Formats: sequence, C-alpha cells, structure tokens
Amino acid sequence: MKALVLGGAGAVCSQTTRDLVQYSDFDEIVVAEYNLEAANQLVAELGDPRLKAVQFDANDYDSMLKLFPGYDVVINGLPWKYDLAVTKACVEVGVNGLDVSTEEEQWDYDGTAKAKDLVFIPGVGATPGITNAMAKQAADQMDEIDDIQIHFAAFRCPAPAPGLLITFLWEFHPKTEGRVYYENGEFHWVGPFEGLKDVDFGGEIGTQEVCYIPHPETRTMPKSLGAKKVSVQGCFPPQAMNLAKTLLEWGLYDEEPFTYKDVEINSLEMIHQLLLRSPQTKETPVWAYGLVVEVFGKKNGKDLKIKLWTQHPPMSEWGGKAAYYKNIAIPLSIGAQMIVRGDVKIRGVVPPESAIDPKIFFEELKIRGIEVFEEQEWL
Amino acid sequence: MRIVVLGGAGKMGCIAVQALAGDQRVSEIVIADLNLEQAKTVADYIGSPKIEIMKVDINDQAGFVKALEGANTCLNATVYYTNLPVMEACLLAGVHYTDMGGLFHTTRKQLELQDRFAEKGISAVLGMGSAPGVPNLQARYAADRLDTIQSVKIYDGIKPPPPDDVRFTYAVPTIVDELTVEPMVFENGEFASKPPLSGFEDYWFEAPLGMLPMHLSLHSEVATIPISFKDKGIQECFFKINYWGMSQKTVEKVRVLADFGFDSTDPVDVGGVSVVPRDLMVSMLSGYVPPITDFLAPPKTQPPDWGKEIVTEIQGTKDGEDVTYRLGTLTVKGALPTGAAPAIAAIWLAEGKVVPGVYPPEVCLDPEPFFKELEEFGIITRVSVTKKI
Repeated sequence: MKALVLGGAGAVCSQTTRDLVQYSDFDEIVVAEYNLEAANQLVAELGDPRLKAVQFDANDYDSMLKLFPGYDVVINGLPWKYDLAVTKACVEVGVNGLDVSTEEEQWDYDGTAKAKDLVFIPGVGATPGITNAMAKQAADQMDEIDDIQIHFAAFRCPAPAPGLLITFLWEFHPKTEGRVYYENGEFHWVGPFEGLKDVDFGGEIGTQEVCYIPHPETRTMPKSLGAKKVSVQGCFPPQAMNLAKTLLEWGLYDEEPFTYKDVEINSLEMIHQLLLRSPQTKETPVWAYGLVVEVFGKKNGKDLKIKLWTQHPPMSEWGGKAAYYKNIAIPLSIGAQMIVRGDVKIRGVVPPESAIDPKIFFEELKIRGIEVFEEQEWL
Repeated sequence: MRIVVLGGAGKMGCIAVQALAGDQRVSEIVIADLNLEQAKTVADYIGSPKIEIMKVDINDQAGFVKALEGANTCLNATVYYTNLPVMEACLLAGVHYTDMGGLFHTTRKQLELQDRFAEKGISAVLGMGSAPGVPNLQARYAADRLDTIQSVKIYDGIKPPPPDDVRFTYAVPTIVDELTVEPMVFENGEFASKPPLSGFEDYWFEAPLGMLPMHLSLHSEVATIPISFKDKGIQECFFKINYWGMSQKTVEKVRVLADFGFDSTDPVDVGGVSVVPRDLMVSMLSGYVPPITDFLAPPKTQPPDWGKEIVTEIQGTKDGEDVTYRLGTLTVKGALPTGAAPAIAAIWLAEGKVVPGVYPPEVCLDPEPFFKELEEFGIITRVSVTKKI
C-alpha cells in the first residue's frame, strides 16, 4: 500500500507524516513537497525506510496527473486553495484522497468519483473532521436531529503558516459569504463577531467567547444528518480575536485600491503582507485545540441532548506548537489509514460524517492521546 | 515681531497661529508647512492679515534656513523627531526656538545644544505646550516657595470622550510612541523605566472631570524637573494621563496593532515596496483625526464646564514644616493651552525675556506672569496649599 502526502513537511502536515510513520502499515510513504530540502530533512530525521521525498509544485496541475497514479491514497495537507485542484486530479486519475478543509465545488466531483469507485473526503482535520465524527456519533443515537451546535477554540497564533493566516483573515472578513448558520430549511448569513457566547473548553483553553465562523459543517450536516439547525461558533486566542476585531473596527479589511509609495495596493493586502512578515504573529502563549459539540434531538419521542468534547495532552507533553497541529494532522492520517483498510465503505466525494465510522475513528484518536468524551442529558 | 510656526497647518500648530494672530505684540506670522492646502484652510478660518503661508520642507535645510530669515522666533509645532534638525536650522538662521516637547529622550539631546545657542546669542525653551509646559511652570511656582522638594507628581486629566468615539486627539505618531515606548519616572532619586500603560491610580480633578484613571506616560517634564530642582533634594517625579484624552477602547485598539508588530520600524518588502509597518499604521489611522477646523472652532462649553485640568502636586518643606502645593490649570478646550502656551513663550523669546541658551520652562520662565497671560485665553490656574494648622 502506498500513500502520497502533499505538503507533508509543512507546519501541520509534517505531524501527519510522523503519525503515518509511527502508526500506519503503508509500504511506502512519499512526501511531496515544494520545499524539497524540508522534506529531505524530515525523511532523514524520521529514518524510516518506507519514507521518500519528491519535489512537487501544486500550482502545476499536470504534475499532479503524473504524480498521483499508483498510490492508494493522496493525503492533501496543502493550503485550502489547492483543495479543488487536488480533488479534481484524484478523481481524474482514479485515486482515493482526503484533505483538511472544504470547498463547495469539491462536491461537483461526487458523481465521477462514485462511477470510478473511489472516495474523496474533504475536511478530515479537527474542525471540520473530528467535529463531524462527534456530531455523527450523537446523531446515531437519536431519531430526530433538531440542532447541532459545533464550538471550537483554535489556539494558535494568527500566522503560523501563510495558509493559516489567510484562513484567519477570511473567517472575520466582513464580506465572507460562507459565514452562515442553517435553520428552517435556509442558510442565514451573519456578520463577523455575531452570535457571541461563552463556551468552556476545559484544559489550558478554559472558557472562551465564541462567534459564528464560516465552516463546512454548517453546509453539509443539514443534508447528511438531516439536522433542522446547524451552527459553528469558534474562536482563536484572545489576542488574535482582539486583532481581528481591531482590523474590522478600523476598517482595515477595505479592499478599495489606494496608492502607497507609487504602488497600487489595498488595505487588506497590505495588512496581510505585514502580518505575514511580523514576528509577533508567529507566537502565542498557549497552543491547543478545543472542540465541544452539542446535539439536541429526540429519542423515542423524548428530548435528548448529547454533548461531546475532546481532550488532548498539553503543550508541555506534546511539544509546544504541536499541541495545536496534531489535532488537525492526526485525524488526516487516521482518515487515510481508514480509507486504505476498507473502513470507509461509501464512494464519491463525501463529508466525514457520511464516510467515517466515529467509533473506529475515536479509538484511533485515543491511542494517540486525543480523547472524546460524551455526556447525555434527557431534557 | 515675526514668528514662524513650523507645522502651523497642523492640529496643534494652527491653535498657536490663532493665539499669535490675536496678540498685539505680534505683527507677522508665517504658517510654514508642507501641506499648503491645509495651511490655506487654517489661514482662511482665522482670517488675519498678519498671516502668510510658506511651503517649507525641513529636509531642505538651506530652504528652511532662508524661510527663517527675518523671524524672531521659530515655534516648532511638528512631531518631536524634528526638534534637533529644526534647532540646527535656528542656529544657522540666528532665530529663537520653542517646541511642544521632546518625549523625554529627545529633550535630553536638545539640552546638549546649550553652549552653541549661548554662543550664538539665541535662546530656546524646550517643551512648552500644555504638557510639557504648564506643569513645569506649576512646579517652578511651588519650588520658589519651598526650601526642599520631595516629589513632583503631574496629572493631566482630560474629559474622556464617549467610549465608542474612535478619534485621535493629537499627532498620531506621538500617540503611537506614547503607547508603545516605556515611560520614564524618577524614583528614590534615580531615573527608571516602567512598562507602557502602567502605574494606574485614580485621581480627583475639578468637577465636572471628577475621578479619572491615570497611568504613566513618557513625557519630557520628567526629563528636566528632577535635574532643575536637584538642589532641593527631589526624590520622585512622574507624569500620568488618562489615555491621552482618548477613549480606552481606541487606545486598546492601537495597542493591539502594536502588539502584532505594526509598531516596528524595520522596513519590510510588500509587493516590491519597502514599507515601515509603523509608518503604515500611522497612515492608515490618520483617517480618524478630526478635520483641522474642529481644532480652531470656539470651545463647545463655557467655564466651569472644564474639559481638562493639568495638575502638579509638589510635596516639600518650608521652614521645617511639610507643605504640599497643588496647582491646577483649567481649560474648557483641551487643545487650547497646547497652542496658547508656546505662543506666549515664542513672544517672550522674541522680546528677549530669556537669556541665551537652551532651557526647560521651569528654569527660564517666570510662572506668575505666564499664568496671567494664559488667563487671557480663559485658561485659569489655581493653587491650594496643604499644611498643618
């Protein structure tokens, strides 16, 4: 069995590569990286004979078509802007795959993927990812699903990697169209910092104020789980939330072009570039991921609430930033192994809650230190 | 009497121009500025025949010195980083000099020009806005009446704007510095630095200001007062202000940007352009400065509805007894003393009331006549003395 790990030496996905080395039965694990030197270094450090590094440019679609054939699964750890191209290439070539976020257009390849008897699962990270399995776990115990409330605390700095800075800025952009919640058969758009409430994430994160965040769970779960209401509310560390709030309040999300030192630029682009280069956007006191999912529904005609939450080892045990990255990277590795082992029966381009058996998934997470807890309450 | 107001089209400079225009001792005022359009707005608003406008770039020293020729005093109302080059130009032109402060460290460097100014026979009064400026003279008033001084505590209390009022009350670059640079204090007879926005204490001001939360800020009074009154044994001096007259929310937001690297002065490359993050932050926030005519408009309230009280508390002894002086200078319009005080100093310099050399206000200006002149602008100074019965 062969796995191809795109961006496998990056900030997040290098933890996926490490997990594959430690836990998987793959005969070959190939790290495809634009930064070949980083990939070679990781391969040398891990010293596993199954590992290999290859040079790869995700901007070159044809190179995907040449590289992908022959693998049993393509693990996409690249920034989200490559999700669509990688999905398209996987389906075109006929290889299974998965990634850590979701683009609406990825679902367009569902039919072709089914016809070719392959599976591609967008969004197998922490959220989307673990949260989808949590919601599915609760939904499986109910006859009717009234309300799925997903909460996350992504405790990382604003710009640990270029792609993650873009995510951070986009999630609070006043014009982001995907910031919706679902209710009564419709998606309702909300502005940044709306739907504020306090959620206790426990551990080093504690209680934090969350707000609506554009996330794919909101889009997929009304259909996949038949939920009447779905929302995702999340937060970053307080300092990062203050930064986003300040950028908004000063009007720095403005994309009207202006001339600065004879070059036409806009405020958001300037902010993006400066934040990318600022050393202060690379640090934060606590690195961690908090996930709390509450599902309200009915079982045998009675109102039931099921709450699930995760716990993972603290920074001191998991090694600083890894305490954040592993929460995204480990699910990606587990998902790939479940696909190849035949634990994923469904075919097509499908969301995690439709593809992944939560029980197997949670067992695998527990082996690595991420524990999912569950509490039931009859209302 | 001809006075050049450098940065006369700016937020504080325009008030100095307005103050000078209304003074009979002054016959000619030059608004020397880079921004001619705004200079014209200011001149039109004030509408005085004494005012002329000159485009001046201080980076062109020869041109600047030429613009100073024939003037008695140069009143520097630009940001404090220009103080040293402007003083150099004054030395070349043989013109007296005053400014609105040097944020401690620049003031120290300016004082080193003492001998050169004295040799040239010209005078400079450093830090002569509302604060620094007024507190220095308040301290001097008490010092003249005390044998020893233990402490000089300065509290600049400004009526806070509504919480969601996102506006800057004066020069954005100076505000950014005051927010991010460590304040200096004098404690136990030594200078020490403290974290920005620290040393909070509540202080009572004249009604309707009432109790305000005061914190340390880097200011040039602290650079000179402990040295000027060293012989009286001074042990403590600090300057505190309430969020520089802005809403706490505004200040916190600037702080957030600074915390994420926007106060950095190391240029970075952005799409082929070299950008200094701090300059960019200042330029992006400058849209939140009110229009210049707001600064020139008559006060919105009348006494005793005060908008600002500058207080200096001086603790010391007289004839072996503990005495505390509290001097409070009140104004209905917060920015008024910042323009009026340097205007008076500029006139006094032109009149030859200051001996040649470079001095802080507490050394070279007589406080009582100065406070009298401020009264003509509706800026009232009161004193209370606390001692044992």
